[in-house]
Amino acid sequence: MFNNRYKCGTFLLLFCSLSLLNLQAQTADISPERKQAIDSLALEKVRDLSKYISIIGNKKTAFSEATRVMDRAEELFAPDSEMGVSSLNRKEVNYYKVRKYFERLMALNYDRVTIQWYNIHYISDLERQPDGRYVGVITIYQRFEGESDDGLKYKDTTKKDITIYVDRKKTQIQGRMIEFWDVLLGDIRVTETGA
Amino acid sequence: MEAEAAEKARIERENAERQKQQEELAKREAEEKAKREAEELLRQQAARRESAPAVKLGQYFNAITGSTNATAANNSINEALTLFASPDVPVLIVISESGGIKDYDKPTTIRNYLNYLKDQKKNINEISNVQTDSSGKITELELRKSYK
Repeated sequence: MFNNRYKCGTFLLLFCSLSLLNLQAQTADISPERKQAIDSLALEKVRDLSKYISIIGNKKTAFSEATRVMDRAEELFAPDSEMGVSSLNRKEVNYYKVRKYFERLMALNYDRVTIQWYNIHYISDLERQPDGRYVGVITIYQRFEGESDDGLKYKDTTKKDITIYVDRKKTQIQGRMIEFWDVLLGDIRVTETGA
Repeated sequence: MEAEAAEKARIERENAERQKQQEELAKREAEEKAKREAEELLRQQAARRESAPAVKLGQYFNAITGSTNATAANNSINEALTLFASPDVPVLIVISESGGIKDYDKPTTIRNYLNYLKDQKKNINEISNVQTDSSGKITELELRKSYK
């Protein structure tokens, strides 16, 4: 009997603690205007990546420029993030660390490569996690076209999901403490591949 | 006697007329001089505004994003960097502001930001604050995001 009451009390205490934590998380939420600004910032980072990928893939881009752009593109990602690569010629999706993906993209055996991302939108809104970090998912469609002078052509369209992490961080600038929103892209998963 | 008085009155009228014309001429000249001076002042103010770091920088931002090739963009980047105390001058980008709280994007440096403009070909951030040192070089730049 006593044991049951003790268990019940412990459960209630745990429940109350969790409720309090949840309440604290809710009160720490930011205004809709600020949230909207963060949503837009994350979408912009994805569009930036799209542009970087098209520059890296473009055969007219000089090696030194492509290398510099790879550095900038890599900075958009959380450490160890992976990019999924699919093909109409195989069933499985291969995953590469983003730097490796960029290097492979630059070395593709075509004379002309165009890569376009479109229909970039959230499929899962940025939600605040218990650790204070915001996590969401943005979907993009990628149109890839590669063409060689000897007539080799390949085209596909892939749908990809990008995990987004947003963290509040601090840094010192000219002696002042500046708080900023650090938007990082995580793994990019292939969800559909078509012609 | 009457003729003499009439002659005197005529001379007085002519003198008054002449004096009036001279006064009007002087007034017109003074007005034109004031207008010329005001125009010159406006020209000088416009020239000062043109040479202000923020204006020059805005022109470089447009030149970089509008460049049709990497060489032209790099030239504009190198020219723009001469406005700064160093290529590592911090660039802060305000993404929103409410209740006195500013939300920033991750701070960057001016060299990286200028290259960003070159790569992305979009100039959506407005210059909101420029800090300079005693020699007029920019030591900190604050931009404000404006999704048009």
